Amino acid sequence: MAETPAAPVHSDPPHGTLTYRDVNRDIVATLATPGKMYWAVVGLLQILVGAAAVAFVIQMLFGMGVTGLNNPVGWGVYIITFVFWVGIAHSGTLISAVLFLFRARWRMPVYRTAEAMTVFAVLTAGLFPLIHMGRTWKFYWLLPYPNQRLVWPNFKSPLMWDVLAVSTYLMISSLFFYFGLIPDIAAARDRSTGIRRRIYNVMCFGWTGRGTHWIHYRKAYLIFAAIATPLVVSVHSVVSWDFAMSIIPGWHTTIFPPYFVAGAIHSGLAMVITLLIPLRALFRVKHIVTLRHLQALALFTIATGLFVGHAYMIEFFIAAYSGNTYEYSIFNSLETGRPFGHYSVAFWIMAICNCVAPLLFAFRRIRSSILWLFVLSILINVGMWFERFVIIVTSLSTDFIPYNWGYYRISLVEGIILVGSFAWFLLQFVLFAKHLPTISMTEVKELIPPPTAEEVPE
Amino acid sequence: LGQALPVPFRDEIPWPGEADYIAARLEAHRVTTVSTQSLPLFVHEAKRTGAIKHTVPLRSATLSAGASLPASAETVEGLLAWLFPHPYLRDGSGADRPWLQEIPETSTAITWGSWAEINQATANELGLQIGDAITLSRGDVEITVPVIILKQVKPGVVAVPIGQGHESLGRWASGVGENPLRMVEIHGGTLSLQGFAVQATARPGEGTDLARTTFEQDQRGRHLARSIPLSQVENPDHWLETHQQHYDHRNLDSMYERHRYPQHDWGMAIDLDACVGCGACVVACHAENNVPFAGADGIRAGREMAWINIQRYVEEGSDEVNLLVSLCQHCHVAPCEPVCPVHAAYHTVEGLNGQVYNRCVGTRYCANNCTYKVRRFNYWDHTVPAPLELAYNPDVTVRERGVMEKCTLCIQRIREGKEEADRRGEDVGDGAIQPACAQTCPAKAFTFGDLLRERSAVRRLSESARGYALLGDLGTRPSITYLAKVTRGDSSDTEGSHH
Repeated sequence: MAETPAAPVHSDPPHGTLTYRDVNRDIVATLATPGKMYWAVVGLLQILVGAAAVAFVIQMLFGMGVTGLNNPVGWGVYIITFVFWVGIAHSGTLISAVLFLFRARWRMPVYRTAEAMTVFAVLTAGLFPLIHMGRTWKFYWLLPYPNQRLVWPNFKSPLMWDVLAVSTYLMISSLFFYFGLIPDIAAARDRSTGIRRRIYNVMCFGWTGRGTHWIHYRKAYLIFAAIATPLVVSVHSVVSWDFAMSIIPGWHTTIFPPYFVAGAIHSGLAMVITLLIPLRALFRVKHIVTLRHLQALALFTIATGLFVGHAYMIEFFIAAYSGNTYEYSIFNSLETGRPFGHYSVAFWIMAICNCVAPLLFAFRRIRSSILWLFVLSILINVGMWFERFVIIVTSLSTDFIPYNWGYYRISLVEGIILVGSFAWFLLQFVLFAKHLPTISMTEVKELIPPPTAEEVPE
Repeated sequence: LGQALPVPFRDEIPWPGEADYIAARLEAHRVTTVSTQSLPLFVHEAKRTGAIKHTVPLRSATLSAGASLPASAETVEGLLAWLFPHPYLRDGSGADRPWLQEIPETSTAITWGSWAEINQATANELGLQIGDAITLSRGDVEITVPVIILKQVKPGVVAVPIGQGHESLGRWASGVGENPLRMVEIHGGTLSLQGFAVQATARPGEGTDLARTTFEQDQRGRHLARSIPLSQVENPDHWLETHQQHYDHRNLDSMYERHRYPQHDWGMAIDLDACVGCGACVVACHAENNVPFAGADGIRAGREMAWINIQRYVEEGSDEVNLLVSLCQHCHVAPCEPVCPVHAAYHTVEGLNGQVYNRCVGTRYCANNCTYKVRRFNYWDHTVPAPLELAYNPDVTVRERGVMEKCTLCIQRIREGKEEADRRGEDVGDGAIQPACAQTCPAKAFTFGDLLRERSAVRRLSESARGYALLGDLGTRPSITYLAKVTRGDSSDTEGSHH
């Protein structure tokens, strides 16, 4: 496989000619003081996030009328984007926790980035339940706390299940992420001075690399991986129940938990590819995060894409087979069905980007091209965003009683907040990339033979 | 202000001060009204009655219905115009009332505007679709309005409502719609609102300000607004079979425990045979419950606020028009209740679906899950300009932005009725409590009462063979029972007319 970096060519793990010194040097080098370009990017992202904050304040002051929502479409861009970001988060946990339990060694150079993506995606997603509320300032009523009115939240509501599931996911994935970082923080500490050194030291709890430290570290890591693993399936299943537990056609279906989880993995894998490609180029770590890793992720998306495509086809089949007028109207009708109706463009974007695009990765030439990997991974995420659009908006806009049908269009405020969410996610990621190692030195070192006495790095 | 101007301009202003200016203006009015009163008395009278009345010279003419009607539309060059009084605005005197502008006109669902009704054949000839603009002209007068297609209008005819297009009636009427009366001419002492020719210029693709509450008039075989032919009323088995009314929807299973109602279970029967689609119930509901009006912009955005609405369905092969009065069904197994994360939507001990405005945080899940889509979200703070806030009902709150609202079966009247009965030391009489819609309906289509009460009118009607639950097969067990319309011919809502 032809690659032309300055470093030697590496194939399967173990990365034969990499040494501990290489790993330490190259990865810690990513934490070097950044140039102006970096701060320009950070500044731009902050401006976009600021614009979104202003848009949100305007919405709170004037009302949800600044969105495109109406009767009957009460949910739009905000809930679509919420599900989008929660979905992306799941792949990170899959790569870092599930593949860890399966002992898939190829995950090691990429899992830290994926896990960071998870934490930041959950932090982004968690904003949207607040943003979509008509009276956001009363958000705390969704938290179960004892109060003098003796009123609890309604635990029958899938929205409450979301609150519990997403906050659990945030807590567990943050802790998992953090504990996994500890030895690497220590490595960064050892190469820093002054106030930075002291901050890193507190963050890694004074790690010294003693045997007992490593034993505890391995145990904690394994336990967290085991706890996080079921969350990969459960959290997005719970989010899918926001729709599956409702009664309207196109939402009320038992296929949603596996459909959503598969879609989540699908979009998360694509987002990992999208993040890794610039990261490995800018940080010059192409010899650690190699083309093989990107190819492995790409091959995985073929599987998830097929799963998702199969789920789409099952929905259409069941709608036709059921003989149910309302299901027929949502799926199969040539007048109102999803592929033909008012939002047919969104449907076809979804179908082609999610199901057809990843199949191209079956061709070695395509999955070996950085450009194709980057473009297709973005298309997959475009498709996944539109999948939630199709599910949410088509089912709401044409439900049981035709008099009530109505259509939804995105508004400027919603667009600014949507873009702002991407900026918020990237801002967190970009800040993280320069302050903590985006590649796990600890685990990459497991892939290469340890140094002999003469080669011990300082 | 005049004092502040530089000297040459100041001298051109004839009035020394503001009071003189006003006095001069009023004097000018007094002179043209040919009033014999002194100026102070004239001004006092104007303030007392609220207006300065000018007499407009009248031309006398008699309204002639058919004297000038042509034999048929084909003989007319252009389209045959048919002006008719707007059902709510009538001759236009209602145009300054926002409620009357807001309520959708039953046949077209149009609010806050004028329109031109034409037949599909005429539309095809002109290349127009619903919502496109059409310019109608007669002589020098021309009006441009959006097009609506109704099969009740014959080909070659264009029907336009009068009542809009005001210039000085008031703030709500101005700028709304067009006044087709400008096209009416008086010939030989007679004038006619119908039967004159107008030139029609189609403007397809030109946007109009059409504000409609719905785009759909086809119930697609979903048995929403049902009708039974008179011939089958005695023997309804076949009709019941096709409309799946054989089973009792009240006994469909639910995974939730049945609610227990210790005293009352309020319900309503709505007779679709009596309903004529007048819209009085909608206005009454607005008045009673402080329901805000969305205005033309709100209706266009799809954010109508009316808690009750009249849906009109036409069937493909027949002339039947079926009306459905849609309001909160107060389901016994309400889809909106389990999904509210904060218990703002809950079930009362008297069978109502309650909405606690103070508790609502505005997630809108309840509205999404409502199969009838009768819930209304406050997308804005609907403040009204003075003095309209004096029209609010003091027994009912005004909801802020971000809060969901809907029909409560006038719970404030229910409570008052119960308290009144309590004071008398009696039970609530059957029919003593009337929600605003029931009270107002001129056709007595609504019957409200206690479903638990053995011989109440609502109980009797809800057990009628004509009675059905809207979307009953979903198992929501509504408290509202609809009574199917009875048609004279052979047609029902699922079968076209056979004659």
